Amino acid sequence: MEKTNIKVEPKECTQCYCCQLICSFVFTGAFNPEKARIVIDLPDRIGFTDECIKGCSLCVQYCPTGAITLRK
Amino acid sequence: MDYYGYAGKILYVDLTSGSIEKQQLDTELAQKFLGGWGINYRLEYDLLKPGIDPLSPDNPIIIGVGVLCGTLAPASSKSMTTMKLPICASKREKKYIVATAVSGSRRFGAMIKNAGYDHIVITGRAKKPSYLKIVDDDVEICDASDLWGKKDVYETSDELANRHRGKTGKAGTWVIGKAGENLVMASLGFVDRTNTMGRWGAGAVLGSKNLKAVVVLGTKGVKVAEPKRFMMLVDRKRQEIMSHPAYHTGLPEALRTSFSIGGTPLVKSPYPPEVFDLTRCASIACMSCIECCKGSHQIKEGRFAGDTLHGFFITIGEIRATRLRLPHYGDVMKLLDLIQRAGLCMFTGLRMLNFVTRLYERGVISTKDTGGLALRTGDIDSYIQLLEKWLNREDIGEYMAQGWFALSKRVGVDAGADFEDGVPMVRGSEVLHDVRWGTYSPAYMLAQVVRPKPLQVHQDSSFPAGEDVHRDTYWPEYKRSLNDVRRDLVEKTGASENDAERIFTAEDFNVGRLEKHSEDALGVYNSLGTCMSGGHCDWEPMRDIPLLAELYSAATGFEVTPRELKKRGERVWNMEALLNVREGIMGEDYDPPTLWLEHTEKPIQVDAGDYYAIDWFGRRVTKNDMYQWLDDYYSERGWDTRKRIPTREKLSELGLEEFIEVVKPYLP
Repeated sequence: MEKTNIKVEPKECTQCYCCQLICSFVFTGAFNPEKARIVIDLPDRIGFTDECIKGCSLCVQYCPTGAITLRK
Repeated sequence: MDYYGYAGKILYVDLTSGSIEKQQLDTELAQKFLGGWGINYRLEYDLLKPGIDPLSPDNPIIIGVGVLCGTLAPASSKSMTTMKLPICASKREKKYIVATAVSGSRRFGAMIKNAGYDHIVITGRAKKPSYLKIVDDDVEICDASDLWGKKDVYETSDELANRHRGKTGKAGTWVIGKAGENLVMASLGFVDRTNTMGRWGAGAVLGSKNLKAVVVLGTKGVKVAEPKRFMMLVDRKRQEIMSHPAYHTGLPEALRTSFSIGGTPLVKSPYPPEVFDLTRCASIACMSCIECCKGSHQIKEGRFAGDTLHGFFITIGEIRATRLRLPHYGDVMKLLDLIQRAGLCMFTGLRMLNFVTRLYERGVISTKDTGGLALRTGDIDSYIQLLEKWLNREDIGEYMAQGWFALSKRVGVDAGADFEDGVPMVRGSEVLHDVRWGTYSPAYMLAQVVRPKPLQVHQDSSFPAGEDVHRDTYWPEYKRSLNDVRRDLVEKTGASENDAERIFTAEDFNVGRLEKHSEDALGVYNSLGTCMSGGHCDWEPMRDIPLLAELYSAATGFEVTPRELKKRGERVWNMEALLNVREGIMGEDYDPPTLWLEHTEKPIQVDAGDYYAIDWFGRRVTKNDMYQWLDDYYSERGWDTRKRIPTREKLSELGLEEFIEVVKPYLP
């Protein structure tokens, strides 16, 4: 899905997957990258699944590199 | 039953019969040996028949993942593999060490956990080239005829990670290259395309089983017992790391300098230091690490312009390669890339290419030995051709493939005693660093000698130090005194005040005794799956046993104190020693290498003058110091200092009474 509140920069991603870990943990109760709502498909793409909640920015909070940031 | 932290199952795959079994993880076993490294060793004890040929189907490969692997605990992505390694450990007789290789991972470790397994045991030998596919409960030995002999490490990793990819990302992989396929002793495996797992011939063990790769995807999730407590600890540590002055500063210059005396003999790097920063095109972390210590580099100009060296801690490669005197940085990157793609150990790779080339130039070997190949220092083409001969086991390459002892015998020059071009060797392979590289601490140096499988990258036992005990200071904010180091030992590695009393005086500390306690903590890191460096080799934010005790307790629901956690780490080291005693590794097998001792008192020339082995205080270290520290190390371990193996008393103290029979014949 298109996330209007979030800007992604695949080149900044170090593939630490902290975004998938926190997303799955909060929404499923377990650390489970495959149940996360963010897709890491490097080198070209960081995307969001259809289940992703509009306006949610949990992944931004846990991204240590600036690959996922809030759109100003 | 419900498992927290642990996945709860061990997967057994026999490649000969094709049988696939799953067993519940025994929670008592899990608590006693923690996980990952520790449980791997306990399983190995039951599964490995002593004395077998490491390349026979009987040699089990045990893969484990740390208890915290797959969670958000910072830098907790380690997977590890235990096996009997095929490099002959003694010049005198055929014997081999049992050891564990540890690796960070981006997907591999977490996917094993998510597929529902803490450990994977692989036995037997497949009839034809195969790979092991694990997607949750779907486990299959698949045909690898399209990969074996056809695709290199990167191509195989990409192919399998995508072939079995999931909804949100790629599958995790552990693959071998041509070196492993052709049973080259310096072969290893690559995890998730980037991390190496299995220096000292693990690649050949996979190759001997006709196993090209393990690929895994999991969707089951990793639950923790106390989610709120766990996340509070995670968030606190993340905050601590991110607010540190060194966070995201990259590799400090002082550290780069300290690496630069890593080669023996020292050759000043001919490449401008900025070139390695300028060529960096991607930064790569392991899963859950908020720093990163790896990157990809693209060659900008010259003959190999446009080629990329993937996933590399570049300064290490740069420094190692200086001995080869390659004129252009692009040549270094190209050679390293070919070595990686072949699944060959970079350290052994560069050193052996140098050794054989220098033998040729010294007239010890000729074109008769090299199959017509004229070797020349600094010539990238001759290095590449020699590498090919090594991988294909042709001419002199056959002996290179068999390892340092076989090569030394063939050429009539003992690589382990050749001061000019040789390398200090322990149990059949070379040490990671020259003894004069001791800018971290001599304890770090000692780790290369006393462990069955000597020091590996990110497996050190050093402590970060400040300017008053160290000749380099990395950050002004990080000055530390001897008292700071002592406090760290007690507060960060779980040692007691009594331990500290034995180790420290007001002006000094005992290197051998310190090494033991630092190793115990390392046993914990490797069993829980945490990287103590967390992306920073000299800051080491995850060297924090009290935090790990809290994280383990919150993750698993099994409460543990820091002191008890460290004791379990110690138990793991004793278990490793027992496995090696069964293989006859003891006593003089742990003697320091000849060149090691020579190098202790012989300087290397650097721009600033002669460089000697020194302690933290900058004082010259003598051979006698080294011998004393070794005795102190074994004494602190509570082991027999002559046989260098665990005593009955130590095994009893650690609850390992059932294994006393193993050491009994060798003790007074």
